[in-house]
Amino acid sequence: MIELRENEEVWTIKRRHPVVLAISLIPVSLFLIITILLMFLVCCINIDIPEMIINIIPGDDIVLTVLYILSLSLIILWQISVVVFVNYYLDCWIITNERTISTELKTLFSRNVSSISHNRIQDITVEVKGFLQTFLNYGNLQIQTAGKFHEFIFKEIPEPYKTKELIFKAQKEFRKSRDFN
Amino acid sequence: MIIESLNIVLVFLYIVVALITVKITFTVFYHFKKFDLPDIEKSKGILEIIKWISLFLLIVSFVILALILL
Repeated sequence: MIELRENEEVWTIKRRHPVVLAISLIPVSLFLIITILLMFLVCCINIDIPEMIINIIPGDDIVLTVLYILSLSLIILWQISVVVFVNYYLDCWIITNERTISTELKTLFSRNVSSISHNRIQDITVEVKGFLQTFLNYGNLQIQTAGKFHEFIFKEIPEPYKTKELIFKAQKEFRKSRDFN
Repeated sequence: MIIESLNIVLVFLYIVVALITVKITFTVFYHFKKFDLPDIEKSKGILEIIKWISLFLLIVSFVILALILL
């Protein structure tokens, strides 16, 4: 899907800051830990099961059934973590010596790949807002282009100011190589 | 009668969860292949981890289900 042109070199690949992934994985991780703890509890602790239930289902089967349901929920939680990770990993921005490529996995079944040549870039805006973004040095980088081409936004990337400088440098070299100046 | 119905529900649940797992794993592999990112070599290890953990969890659930049914 991403085919580099002849003489095109990848300068850098940017993804969201790892802390963004960590934050989105917190709820799933909590449920994962709780599920694993419950599995250990079910295996290790003898719980008094009411006789009414034992008359219907034998005691051993109850423990196994609870373990089974917990193991199924473990699979579902693992799959949720996989989807969150893949969403993080496949949303990336590739800066080459000729253009900037954006790949975005919108949902698990919808993806979007677009690119913009360096000579169409008019301005770049960096937005770092909030304590966490300032402290960990990550934020949004927005590329404004000539014409009615859609805006390019690098979302929550680490070191946005350095990336901005890199794009300007790439643009400068691209223009020099194509004799734009 | 109750146990038989419960067993059918448990088997049905396993089939549903296994199908979801297989579907998601295949879709993830498909996307990684389709996107063909320049650093795709690094992601091969990640795909292997996803595949083997999913398989391990499915086997564990299957063993527990087998113990319930036998």
